[in-house]
Amino acid sequence: MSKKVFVCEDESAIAKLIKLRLGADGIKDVTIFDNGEKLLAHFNTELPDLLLLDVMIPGVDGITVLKTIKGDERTRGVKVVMLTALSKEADIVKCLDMGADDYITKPFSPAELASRVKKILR
Amino acid sequence: MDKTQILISILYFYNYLVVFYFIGINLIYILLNFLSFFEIRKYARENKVMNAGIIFRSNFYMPVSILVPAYNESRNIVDSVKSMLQLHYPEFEIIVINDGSKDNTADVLKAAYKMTEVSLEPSSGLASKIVHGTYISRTHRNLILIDKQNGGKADALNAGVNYSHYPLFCALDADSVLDNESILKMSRTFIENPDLIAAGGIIRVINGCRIEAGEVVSIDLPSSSLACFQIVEYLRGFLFGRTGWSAMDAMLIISGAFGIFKKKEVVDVGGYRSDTVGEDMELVIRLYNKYRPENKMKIKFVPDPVCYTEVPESLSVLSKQRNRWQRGLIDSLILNFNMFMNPRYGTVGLVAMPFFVIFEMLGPIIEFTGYIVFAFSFFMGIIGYKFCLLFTMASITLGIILSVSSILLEELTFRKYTKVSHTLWLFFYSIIENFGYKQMNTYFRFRGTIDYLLGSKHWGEMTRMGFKKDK
Amino acid sequence: MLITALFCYIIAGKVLSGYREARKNKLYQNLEDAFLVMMVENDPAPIKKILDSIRSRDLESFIEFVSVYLTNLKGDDFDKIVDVIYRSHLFKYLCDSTVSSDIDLKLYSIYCLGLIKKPAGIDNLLAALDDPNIFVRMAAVASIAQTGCLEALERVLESLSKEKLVTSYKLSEMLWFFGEEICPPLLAELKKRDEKIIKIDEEDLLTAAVIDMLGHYKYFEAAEEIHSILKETRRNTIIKSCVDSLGKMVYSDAADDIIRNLDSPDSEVRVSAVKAVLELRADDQTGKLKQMLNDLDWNVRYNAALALHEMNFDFPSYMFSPELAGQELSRAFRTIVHVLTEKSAAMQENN
Repeated sequence: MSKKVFVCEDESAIAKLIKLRLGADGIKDVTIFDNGEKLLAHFNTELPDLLLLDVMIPGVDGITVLKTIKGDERTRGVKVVMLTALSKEADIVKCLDMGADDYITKPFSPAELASRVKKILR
Repeated sequence: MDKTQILISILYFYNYLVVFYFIGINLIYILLNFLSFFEIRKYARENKVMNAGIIFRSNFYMPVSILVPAYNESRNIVDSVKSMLQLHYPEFEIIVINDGSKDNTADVLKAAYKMTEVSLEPSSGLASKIVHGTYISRTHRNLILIDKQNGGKADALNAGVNYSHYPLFCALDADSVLDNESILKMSRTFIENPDLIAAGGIIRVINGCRIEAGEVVSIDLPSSSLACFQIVEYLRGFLFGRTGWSAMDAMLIISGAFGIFKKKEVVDVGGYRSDTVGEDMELVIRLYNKYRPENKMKIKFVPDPVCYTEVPESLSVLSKQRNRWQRGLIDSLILNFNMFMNPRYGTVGLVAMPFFVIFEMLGPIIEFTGYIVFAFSFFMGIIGYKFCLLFTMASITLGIILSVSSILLEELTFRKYTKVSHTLWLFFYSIIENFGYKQMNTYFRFRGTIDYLLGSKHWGEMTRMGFKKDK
Repeated sequence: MLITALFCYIIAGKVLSGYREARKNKLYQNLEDAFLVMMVENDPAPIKKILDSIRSRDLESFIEFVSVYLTNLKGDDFDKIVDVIYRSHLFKYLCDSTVSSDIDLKLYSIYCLGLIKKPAGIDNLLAALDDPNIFVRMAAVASIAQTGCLEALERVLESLSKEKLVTSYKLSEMLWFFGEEICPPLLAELKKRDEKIIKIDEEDLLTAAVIDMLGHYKYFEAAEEIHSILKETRRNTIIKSCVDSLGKMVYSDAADDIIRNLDSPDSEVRVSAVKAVLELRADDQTGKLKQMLNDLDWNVRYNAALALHEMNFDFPSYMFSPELAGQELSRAFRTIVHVLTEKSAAMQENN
């Protein structure tokens, strides 16, 4: 069965890059959102298997989105991989504490990202 | 000599005066136009940065305190603060000063940003009304609220300066929307010019623009033609008015809606004066007054950093606003009259002050009475129709050229209005503003001058109007 | 007549600029597409072709492309794209542009050379350290750091020491690009500077930044040197950095000198001292910290309360103790309430 992935990232080039990379690795069903509000609104109609979430997004920030998703019974099962420019240890721990399944710090290697995503989806 | 003859010679003389006034003001405008043309070209050549963030990611900056005086702003304050929190700048604090609002401005803000009372100590001692409490946000460590007794905008700003921590402060209106990179661009100017003690940015009209999450996302023209006239007027005033003065090192006005100052110098001259309606202009002139003779200072206009502000779309509000500006201008000039024609103040004393006194302060009176006397003389047959026609034609043509050239400056440099239709409309408005809008403004300013002369008896009442938002 | 001419000029300019804008966007789009092709299909031919066709007027799109992709990528894909750029004429063009008369072009070239991280551009970057414009000089420092070329460090520090610096915060960030290997040479540098510190009475932000960096990497070998500087210096910025760094290294030999600075006249030094006392877990200082809850500076009070909280100080009974009785509006009481609400709010959010 093919897996569904949402990407929430405001830098469109990066989002496109991720989408292509994942596509090349066999994950074709990738939807891109450029802000937290749109993502959360879409969660009401459809849930992905995995969400790649940037911490620094306009509007509702990534941490809050993560909190909302992990705090709701219905959406809790969605795997979340945080994508972050924050390299401070404390922030990463904070993300993992709140239920993120993995994190990737920018700058990142697309190949590594794809393999981690695949591992979590397996 | 009988009475009619005397009257006729007075009218004759007055007509000459008007003609000389007209020639003078236009010569200066044309000069300003040229100066700003080169100045802006120079600025644009040196700063054609498409993404200021690139430059600043690993660079210098000076921390900035952003002061936001708020009076009865409960409806907008949370959104305004939200937009300011998104500024692209490495180190800044936002200080909201609740100036004894009659609504629940303070409570709304405290609830939205989870603020707790902490007793902050002021770091400078500018005079201001009693401060009831100081609060810090638990969600945003750089957001401070100062709750104080009502005392007007100047008083609120002084309180804000007292509690600010950083070497620079930025005075904003509670409803202005700053471009995300405005402070970055301003800060660049401060670092490149160590002598700079104050700088103003360009104010653009927000009416008609689309705003999302406190950010201007697309720029469009408003449907109200009164607002469109003001767009052309603001372009003219900022792009060639202030740039030109700035090139001469004699810029007397930094708009209260967006200006950055060095804290130390402002504290040293005693901060804002709360007994005038033109506290923004008065402060700048007073800075010149104190520091210009020492010659180690600069005040600049930077044409790129943008602050968006809403302009009135109704005639009565516009007339009140212009009336207030005119009174503020006269008051600022009179309070610092010692600089008039004083060579110690260089271009400020010898060029800017005389210009402002003759053309900005007395100008409306000369222009307004000029129109009447002109019409009167024409009907009396003192001046011939040929002269009359020629003069009207000349004044309108010059007016159009000046208006259009500001659009040209905008098109040469910043091009905020992207569509061709925008330019066509602006062009249209810049032509027809010479048939009515400019004259109407002269009338508003004439009324302001008269009000100032009459109103100086009851000064107290007028000060309190200073802070009222003209919306 | 004149007005018509102006009108035509404006409209023509508008149309032309619209055309240029479109061209710029198209080029950016092409670069992006070609790069993605290279990444997914491993075929560098298309991007090579586009890069070769770029002339100076198209540089903006290229710079934008570089700034988006190179700042976000690492690993194989980063190497691949840098390699293609390096082998095109653009790399030489960027190097040459570091002496352009156009300040912005200069800045961008320097910025790009930093992103590309090839040591080949280092000479141009070093030359830019002598530029008359401060932003160009600082951009050069940052870019040199990004290339990670430690041989250039001495030259960078020398040039930085000539600057009239405004804040040390960004300075450490620039040095940080060099990575952890910067510590030993920094320590050597520090030893050289040691002598000067007590002699000059001006604040020395560069030394402060160097000490900050050593603290950031917890480079313990430097602790002794920093401690001796702390004992001798009278300059607050340096004291602050020393206290910060020694705290981060948990260097308990310096405890007495750190504690002494709890009484510093400078509020920022007091804040750092409080933080360091917490790092050192100097439990015998709770009495002093309690006093500091009444400090004139809010930040000091707040950090003292945080430290006490971390040390499991019993706030509730202190609040009702005779010491604070009837002082609900006092600074100490407010600070305690502030910290307690903040902590309980954080707890609730995490659950």
